[in-house]
Amino acid sequence: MATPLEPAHGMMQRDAVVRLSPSARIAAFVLAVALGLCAVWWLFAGEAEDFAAAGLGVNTTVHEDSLHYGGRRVLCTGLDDLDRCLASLPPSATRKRVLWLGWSQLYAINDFHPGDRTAPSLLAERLDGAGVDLIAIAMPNINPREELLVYEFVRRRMALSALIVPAWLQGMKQEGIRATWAAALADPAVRAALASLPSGPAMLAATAEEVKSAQEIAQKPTQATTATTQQRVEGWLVARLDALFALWRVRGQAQGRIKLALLDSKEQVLRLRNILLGTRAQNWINVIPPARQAINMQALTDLVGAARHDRLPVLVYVPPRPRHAFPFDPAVYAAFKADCERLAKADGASFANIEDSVADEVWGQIDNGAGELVTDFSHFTAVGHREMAAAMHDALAATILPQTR
Amino acid sequence: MIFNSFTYVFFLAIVVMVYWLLPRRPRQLFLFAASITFYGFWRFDYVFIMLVSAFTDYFAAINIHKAKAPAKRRLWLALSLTVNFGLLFYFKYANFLVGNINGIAHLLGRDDLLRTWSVVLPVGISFYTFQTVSYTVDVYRGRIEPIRDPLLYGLFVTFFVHLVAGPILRVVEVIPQLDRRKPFALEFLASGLWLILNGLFLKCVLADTIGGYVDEGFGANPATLSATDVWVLAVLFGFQIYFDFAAYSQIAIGSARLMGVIFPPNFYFPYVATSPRDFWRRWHISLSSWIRDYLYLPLCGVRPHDESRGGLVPVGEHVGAARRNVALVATWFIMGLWHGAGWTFALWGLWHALLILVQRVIAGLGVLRSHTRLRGALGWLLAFPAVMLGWVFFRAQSLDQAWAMLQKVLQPGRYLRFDRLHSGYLWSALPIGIDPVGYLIAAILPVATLVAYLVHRDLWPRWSRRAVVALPVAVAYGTVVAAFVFVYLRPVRQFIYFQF
Repeated sequence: MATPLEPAHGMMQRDAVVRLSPSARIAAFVLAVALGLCAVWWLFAGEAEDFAAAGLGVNTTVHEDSLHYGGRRVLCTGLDDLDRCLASLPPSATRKRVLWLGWSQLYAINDFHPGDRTAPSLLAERLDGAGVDLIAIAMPNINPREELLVYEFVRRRMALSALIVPAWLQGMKQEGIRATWAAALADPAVRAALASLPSGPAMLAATAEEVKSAQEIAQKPTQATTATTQQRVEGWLVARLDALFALWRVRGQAQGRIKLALLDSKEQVLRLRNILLGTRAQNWINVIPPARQAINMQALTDLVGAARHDRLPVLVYVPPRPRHAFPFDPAVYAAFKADCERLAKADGASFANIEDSVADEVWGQIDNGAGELVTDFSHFTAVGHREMAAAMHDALAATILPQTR
Repeated sequence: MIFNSFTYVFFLAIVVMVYWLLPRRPRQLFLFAASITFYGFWRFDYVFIMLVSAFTDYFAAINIHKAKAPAKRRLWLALSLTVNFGLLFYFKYANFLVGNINGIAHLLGRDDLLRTWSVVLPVGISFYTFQTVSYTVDVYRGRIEPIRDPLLYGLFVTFFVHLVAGPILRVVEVIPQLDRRKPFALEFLASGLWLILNGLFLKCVLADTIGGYVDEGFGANPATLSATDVWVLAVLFGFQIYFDFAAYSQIAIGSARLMGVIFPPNFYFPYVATSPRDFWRRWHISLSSWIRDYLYLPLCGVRPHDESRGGLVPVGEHVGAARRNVALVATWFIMGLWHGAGWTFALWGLWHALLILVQRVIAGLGVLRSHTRLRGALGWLLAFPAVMLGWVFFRAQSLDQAWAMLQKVLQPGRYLRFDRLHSGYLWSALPIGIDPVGYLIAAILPVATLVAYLVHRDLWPRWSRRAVVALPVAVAYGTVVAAFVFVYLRPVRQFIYFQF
């Protein structure tokens, strides 16, 4: 029996359900939607997973007090708290300002105890006496594209004296510009600076939507008058649904957990590749697509080049890592460090390797995605932060500190 | 307004409810107002441009019909074409032309001869321009009578479900349905709701997820990609654009169904096509039939016949091979440029012209004429990768990028090589230039498409005869789809065809 809705010409396209009566199809639709919503509730409405904390590892946390030194916040994570950090700098025309870029290693502490401080807080104290104010900007899994954007944005708001950039292989895995920094793209000077760099046009193209909305927000006085009718109505609707329905709020959890499952499937693909090709099983966890690494290396090159062009001393440093439980292929990691050293020196920047500065016993633990606890290769205890701050101070003193103006 | 948003879900629910409550004339007025509101959710100032385009044709068609002298009829037709294509040219192609003139001037030693200007492309202009032009041309050809009712005509052009990205509809497909008050039938609700749910799944879950891998791959330096990566990216983008556009079409068709308006299908499993021509019978059907009737056949010197009087006369019987081939190449060149103002799009069109020319040659050889199944299988094995490779032109950001990527494909040594990166260390024997999940998805999609096609064609018609089998299958499928749509419904990405 053909449906009366079949088109008069062209290829026949049957609907999903053609032979059932319309009322049965509507009943099936209503039942399916109801069951679908129940399934979402059943699967995801349990205890909310803290995705940021999960990424930080077991008993690794962030504490506001540990980010301060001398009554000011040394470290900020997003555009929204950048102004707070910059405003709290002591007003002085003679003091030097050093910008330290990094990821959660700079602000997360394993096995935290009251009074513990992060490496940036400790380093700020050490540099204070030398007339140097340290500002650290870190965000989870920062990538060089974001570092480049942050640098171009911050240097237009503060006269910088030097720049510290990590040579961090895990950052090469990351992509995109996160929402907390996308608004920096609204600054025409930042966009112009990015556009003039080799990695800039692709970066701007990839963030075209963010650039567009950021520009619209920047060009007009308020968000309310700049958003399209669609955006305003959608925003209002989403806010209402968020306030009214617990099921609605589960969506974020569901998206996050599905994303994690996809990441896990990626690891399974690499595991399968190793099985098929008989390659080493050791490197399955952190294989970085060369295309993505190429984009990020170019961004890192551009960042160092831009800072050197601005006549800033730059220190590219290899961050601390556990010696015996580091998941990257040693050959890959050695080559990466060599690349970073080469790109730093090509632009007249300094290079320091402090990878052995933190003792093996102070690293935290993290779930490897397969239900096993392994050594966290990013985060350590307060002791580790002290060791890292000391090593970084020595590295600065030996390299760029004497050059800062 | 974007289909993949909760705003649209609420908007559609209200429109459908009010629509069925109103008598014929207020219903048309209400639908017209709703359509203008729908478009205005993007930009209200551009509604005016759309109405200028539409009502130029309204008056031109009436005057063409009224005029006795052929010269006067031609004059009105010329006016319609000038206004419609003038607007399209200004908004879509003027900067492209300026860029090309400046490029030539640069070669001759003069820089920045002409200035480009900032102009926002009105959403859907390519679609409503084709639709209104086809109306005027059909009146000129004497195939249809002009529409005297401005409201009905305005509704034909602006009807929100197909306004922004098609399907490109003819007057005969829409006007009779909008002009009479159909009684409500549960059938409309049943088929419309399933189509919309399916469309939202294709867009929000499949197309947008694949889009992330595609963006990254095409945003990378082609030097870091292996030949395998290029193929994977081509397949991924091929499926992204298919899911994206098929989703839009399904939501459009489903939304129209909720109001009792039946649109012809726009897609039918294009990736199971066994030849390039077969592909275009399954992909964006409304555009390919438009192009055939209003561009290819006129270029061949063939007057399209009314389908109701025996359909189209096979072109081959009347037109020489040379003229047919020139018409084919010209048609596909224009088809490419219709999709976007750039040489990459033109090359994509020419690539398809080449594929069809090759198909004509192979068909002329009469190979495997009696082995239908084997011919179909071999045809698919050739057509699928050829169509996919063409997407590299379509998605590449520049000619340089497209060429750099295609060069990889053309060099056998690039398939199984050791990837070298920066310092010369080796990755593995299997190139990993893009996200590993991308390989997995690209491997699954063609197989899943074939399975879905076979289920749709062979199994489902059998299952659906028995409610005891069909209902659980439909509910199980719908549960999974509804759950994913609920989680992922958000306007994070526009539909790709909005830019055309």
